[in-house]
This record gives sequence, structure tokens and C-alpha cells, in this order.
Amino acid sequence: MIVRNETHNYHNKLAFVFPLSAYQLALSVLLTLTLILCFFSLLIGPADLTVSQLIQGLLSSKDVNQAIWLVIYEVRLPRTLLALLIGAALGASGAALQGYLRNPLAEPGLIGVSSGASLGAVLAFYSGLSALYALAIPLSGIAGAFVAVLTVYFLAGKHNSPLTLILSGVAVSAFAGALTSLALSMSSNPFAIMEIVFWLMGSLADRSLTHLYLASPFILIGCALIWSLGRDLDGMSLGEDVAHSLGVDLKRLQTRLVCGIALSVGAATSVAGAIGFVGLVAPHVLRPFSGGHPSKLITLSVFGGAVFMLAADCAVRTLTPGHELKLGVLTSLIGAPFFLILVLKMRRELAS
Amino acid sequence: MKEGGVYKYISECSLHSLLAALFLLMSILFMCNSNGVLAGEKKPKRIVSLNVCTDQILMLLVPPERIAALSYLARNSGISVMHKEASAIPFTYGSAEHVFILKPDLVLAGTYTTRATVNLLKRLGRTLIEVAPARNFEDIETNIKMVGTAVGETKKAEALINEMRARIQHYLPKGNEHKLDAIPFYSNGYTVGKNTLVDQLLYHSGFTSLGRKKQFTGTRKISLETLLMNKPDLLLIGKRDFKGHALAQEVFKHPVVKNIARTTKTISLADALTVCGTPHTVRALKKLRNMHEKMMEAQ
Repeated sequence: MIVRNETHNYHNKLAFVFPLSAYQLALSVLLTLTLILCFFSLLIGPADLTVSQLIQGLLSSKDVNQAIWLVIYEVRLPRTLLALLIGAALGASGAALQGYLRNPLAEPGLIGVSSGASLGAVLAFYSGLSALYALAIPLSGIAGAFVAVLTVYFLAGKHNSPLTLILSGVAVSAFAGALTSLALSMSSNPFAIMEIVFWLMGSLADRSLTHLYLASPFILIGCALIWSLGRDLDGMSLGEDVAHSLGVDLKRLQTRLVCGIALSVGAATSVAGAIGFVGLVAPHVLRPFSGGHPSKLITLSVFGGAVFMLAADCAVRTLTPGHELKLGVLTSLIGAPFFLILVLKMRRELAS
Repeated sequence: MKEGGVYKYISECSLHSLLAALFLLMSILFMCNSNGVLAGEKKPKRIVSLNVCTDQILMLLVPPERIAALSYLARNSGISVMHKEASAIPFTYGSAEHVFILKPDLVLAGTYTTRATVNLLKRLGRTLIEVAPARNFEDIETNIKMVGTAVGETKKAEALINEMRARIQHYLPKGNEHKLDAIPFYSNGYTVGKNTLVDQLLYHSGFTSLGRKKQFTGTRKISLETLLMNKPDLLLIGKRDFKGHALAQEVFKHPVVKNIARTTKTISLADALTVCGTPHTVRALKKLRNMHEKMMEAQ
């Protein structure tokens, strides 16, 4: 495989300079970036806190300076942690889907899982169900993601062709998006129609600790489930038959993968809307460092997704303060050109 | 415009009122042209109003028999104070076609809404006057006068204005006391700045709005962080009871807003009182003024 050769070259070159492998190096860079971006995410905001105010506020109790404490803990922290978790969920799901389907185009946004989750969350929220039962939002987001991922899998997964995958993904995505818009247009609340943008583009503006508490358990369980599949997916990269002979239980792998993706993407989308391209870009950028192992790629993509998401959210807040851009706008702005480069690369590979 | 503690109409009518008067004159001339007689002599009998604000001024000035249709918003209790009165009168969604078949002899419209219909009706030669949204008490008087002249009820309009002026006078602060800060806070986290009706109401009841303090005009989004860092003496919650759910109202459930609402004085004003400038708007002034007095006593 071409990818592997590149990795070996990379690895050889780096081995002279660093005692770490390319994978370990990439992982430590990503970890450092995650921490730095978390700090920036806590620092940026209209309240214009200085670094010392931020650190003092983080360490002090609520009573010292209540306004600053509330800004940090009730406004910025939920946002930072949600960006981290949602990025991780999307990155891990993208890497796992690409590994399992052996298809570089598999991504929760592109194949309609995010749109399905959005639709589920919209139905729960605008029907008033979530006002009676707060968990209704993440649960029905997860249900929506589950239905979407199963639909795409049965329509395209088995044939393993990029074309059928993308076609069914587009269909599921468009259908769920249309139903979302329809549901919002039928609401009697005059604001609902404007909120189509939130559900189709995603945003972390004004999210609170409540949202964090609602979504994070599901995201964490989903991510853990996906991460635990690493070894099985490594086997899968050698083909289904080889994996089977290596003792991989394909049925079990499939069930757990679908559940992991539905849980993590479903819960993530239900509090922040559908955010595209994170699950596509993160694994693709990091693939050269994974040595062709889906298990390593998943670990890298967890942090890669988090870094991408945190950076996008910081950018959204700095580029247009006051009237924030939707997150999906920025991720697509970066993701779409990336996608084009991917297409060009594939064309070149096909030509040679 | 000068903003004294005491509300003086005549002395304050400068360029603003002059322009309004000019506009009034032009609309009268326009009506003379199309009807052949002065509006004051012949009273329109089939009036159509396309704007929720002109709807209410119209209902205050003419009996229901003379109204062919009001806007569909007139019967919405969240936006229209006179929704009960309006429910007995036919309504229109404001499509040019519908308005045309109503055969109105006068159409009242807002300067920002139903533009396509307004332009088409103008081309079809219908008598039409456009009323700008009121941003202060002077505007309300101008608008009442304008509609009053158009419907041939100048006397009634004058009486309405005088009555309103007296009521306003009663509530205005006596000295120069603008020590208390207030932040109006609406769905989606919006606030209103200088030169809006709500800012005027706050000012004339003795409060200084954030928009006036920071010198911004119009409606803009205020972040929760800004709200925390500029904690006001009074939080004015413009919460309307909407049917159905929307993320726009979720902001009121945010822990930060709940915290501020717990630790500062809050007041809620029905949107219907402040969406349109009508004599009913004085009720909002009364409510704010009472709040101000209570807060000053407590200090």
C-alpha cells in the first residue's frame, strides 16, 4: 500500500531526530495542541479577561469575584469541554467508519448520521418532549443517528463501493435535512424557522453546563466503545476473511460500531447541531502517522477531531464577534477544499 | 433631539417633526389628487390596515364598521394590545390581491412591512399612507395625527394625543435621576439600544439602558459574558408567551441568566405594549416608573 510506504519513509527520517515513533510524536503534538487550544478557548470572549484573571478565576471559589467565576465556569468551560468532546466523537467516528468500511469517504456528516441525529433532536425539542423530560434530546438524537447509520449501512455498506456509500449518504442526509426543515417550518413558534441554520450547521454559542451533563456521558461511552474496537478493525483492514480467521466476531464488531457511532455522534449533535467535515478531515490528515493501523488512527483522530473543533470554535468567536458564524460554516470552509484535494489525489492515483 | 427630564412636545419638535409634517402634507395632497376632495371632508368608509401598529391606532379612531380589514397580527395577543377588539373585524395577510378585492378607499401601511403589496397598490392608484414605526413619544403623536387626518378624524386624534400627553406627564421623573442601570433582554439574547421605544420608556422612567450607556443603537445580540460583566440594577425581560418551543427562548433557562434574575431586580413587560407605539404604550411607562420608585425607596 502506498500509504504504508510513505509512513515508513517518514518514520525513518524522524527516527534520526527523535527517539519517538511517528505515531507517538503525532500523539504528543496533538495532546499539547489540545491543551493549548483549551486554554485559548477559555481565554477568548467578549468579557476580555486577562490571563491572570483567568487563572485566578479558575483557581478561586465562586465568592471572590462572582462575575468572572460565572463567565469562566458557566459560559466558557461548558463550551470548551463540549468542543473537546464533540470533536473527539466526530474524529473517532470518522476514523472507525473509514476503517470498517475501508472507504476514505465515510464520515458521520457526509453519510447522514449527523443529519439523522439532528432530526431526532429537533423532533424531541420542538414537540416539547424535552421540556418534560430533559434526556429526551440526547436519546432521540441517538435514535436518529442509529436509524441513519443503519440505513446507510444496509444500502451501501456491504458492497463497499464509494459510489453507493456516497449516494445513500446523500439521500439519507438530504431526506433527514428536509424533514428537519419541515418540522421547524411547521412549528407555531416564530423563531423556529430561523433555527434551521443551527440544526444544519451547528454551533456552541450559549451552551451551558446542562448541555454538557446531558451529552457527555453518552459521548464518552460511545467513544470508549469505538476505541475498544481498534484491534478488531486492525484485523478488518486485512480483509473480512482474514479478520474472521484472526478470531474477529464480525457481527459483534458491527453492532458495537453502530452503537458507538450512534451514541457519540447522536449525543454530540443533539446539543450542538450537525457539524460536518470534522470526521473526514481529522482521520485523513493523521493517517500517515498511524502506520496503517485503524486502532492508532482512532486514537489520533480523537485528539485530531478535538483540536480541529476547538480551533474552529475559537476562530468562530474571533472572526465575527457579536454575531457568531455557525461552526459548520467554518468546518466546511476548511473541510470542503480539503475534500477537493482528496478528489484530485484520487484522480491522480486512478490515472497512474 | 434634546432629552430633558420634562417632556415638552412643542419645544422639541425640530427637524424631526418638520419632516413628519411635510410628509403629512404630501400625503394629504396625494389624497386630494385621487379623491378630488379634501380628506377631512369625506371620511373613508372601507379602510384596510396592513400593519399591526396602524391597526391599533385605527381602531382607536374609527368605529369597526369603517374598517374593511386589519392585519392578521392584530388578533395575536402576543403582539397586539387590542387583540380582543380586532377579533371581531375581518383580517388580511396583506397580499396585494386580497387587499385589492377588498376595494379599500384608504390603505394604511408600515414603512417596513408588506413592501411588495404597498408598491403594487401605489401603482394601482389606491390611496395609501405609510406610517413609520414609533421610536419615542413624539413619533406616537405624529403617527396618531397622521392616521387621524387620513381617516378624517382630526378632532378625535387630537383628543387622544392630549389625553396621552397628560398621562405621560403624570409619570415622568421630577428631577434628574438616572442613577439606575437597566438591560432589556429578549429571546435569543437580544437587547435594544438607543433610539428605540423601549430605551425611551426606560429613560423617561428614570433608568439608563446599556445601549444608552455604551452608545449603540438598534437591536443587537448581547453575550452572556457582557451581561455578567455589566450587571444591571434592573433586568427587563421581554419574555413573550410563544406557542411552541424554540431555542430562542432557551436563553432564559441558561444558568447565567437564572443567576442574574435571582440576584437582581427583574421586570417583565408584555411585548405588545412596546412593539407598537400607541397610547397603550403609556401602560409600560407606568409599570417601569412604579418599579423605579420602589427601587429608589429601597435604596
